[in-house]
Amino acid sequence: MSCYRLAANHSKDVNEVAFFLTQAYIFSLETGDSVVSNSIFLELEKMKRI
Amino acid sequence: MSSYLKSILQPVEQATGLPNKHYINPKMHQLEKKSLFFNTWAGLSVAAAVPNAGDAKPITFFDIPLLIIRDKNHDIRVFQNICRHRGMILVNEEKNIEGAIRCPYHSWCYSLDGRLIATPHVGGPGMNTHRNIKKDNLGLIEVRSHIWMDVIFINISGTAPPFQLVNKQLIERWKEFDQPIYHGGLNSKFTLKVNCNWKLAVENYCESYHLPWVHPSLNSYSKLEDHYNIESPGIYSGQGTYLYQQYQSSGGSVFPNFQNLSKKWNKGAEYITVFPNVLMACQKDHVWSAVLSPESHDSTVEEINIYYAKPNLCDNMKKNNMELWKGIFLEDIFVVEGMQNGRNCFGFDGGKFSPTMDGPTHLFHAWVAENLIIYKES
Repeated sequence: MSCYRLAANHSKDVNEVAFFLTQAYIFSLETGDSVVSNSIFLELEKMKRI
Repeated sequence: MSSYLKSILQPVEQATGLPNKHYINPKMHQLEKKSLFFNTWAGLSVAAAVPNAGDAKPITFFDIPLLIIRDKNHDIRVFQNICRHRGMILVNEEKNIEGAIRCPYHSWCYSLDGRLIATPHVGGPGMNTHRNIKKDNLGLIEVRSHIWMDVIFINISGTAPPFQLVNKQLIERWKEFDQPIYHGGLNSKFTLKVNCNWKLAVENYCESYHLPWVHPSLNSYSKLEDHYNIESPGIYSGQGTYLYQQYQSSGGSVFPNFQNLSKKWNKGAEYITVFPNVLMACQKDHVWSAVLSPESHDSTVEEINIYYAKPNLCDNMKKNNMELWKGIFLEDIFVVEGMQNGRNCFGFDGGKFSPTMDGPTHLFHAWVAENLIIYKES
């Protein structure tokens, strides 16, 4: 999960960022890490991707 | 109405039992699946199988993959164990789910209460919504369920009257046991696989007629004449004893009794089948259930769980008590498997009931016949 988050942070391509954030979001949902999932949700929401 | 069903519904003195095809014919098994298990409240498992929030237990019920889940509020739900996207099985093994249920195929995610909460890339890479995918309409498919005495009952068709209404008489009969019950843990559960049709396990459990022959150790302190038939047409049947002898350790210790029981339970105990497939027992110091899961027309799995009036009782005593019950269940296996083999004899026509001793068994057959008739007429 953290590698996807890291990849999102390092990418400049908005589509790629959304892709990596989505991956990180799903795995944080699965593990019940609500702090991370809520934070990524807000980022995706800002990008109108969720 | 088939003539043989008509014959089953005669008074016990004239009635015949269910014919062979109900035990050896796979097609008949499929008919019973729909008429006796899907349209009624059938036992699936026990709540103790998912003791902690997030516990998930996949279970196959007549080829239908189901999922029992205890959510964060400790409510238990039963779902069809499939993703709404492509019908993929969601959970393959018993586990604790800390967050969401993630489909292993395309990672659609569901909350423990069944809501669809994420559809990754559903609108293309990195786009997690699509105007045609309405999450509110795509939650897990819940199966109607009700928990009584820790048994999880389900109604697959969703059309049965409420459990409390169907089983009102039995709930009233055993209302004194409507108090906290505590599963005894690892020393209080066992599973048996028997090579017989599920109905033979019910029939054998309903009656006390066989006790002196098959369970001579029971007969040493609770004789045949100390037993009585329990018959509630259309709902349940079984047998009771006026001479229950509770387990006592070598040091003389006994399990604590349930609170505020009436005098009847000082020496009495009752053993009842909740139709179609849950064998239940009430004694002053412990209760148990045996959920019968038919695997096929000639194979049944029995899941037995024992409960006490208080938690954290002596493990050794619980183990010994479990072994006592397991021994009794094992003593019955040659009988039910023998009857299963016997059903291949074409000369057997359903048998002849003893009007005095076989009332509870006949009552069960009549319940089967009535529900088959209702199903066929509908």
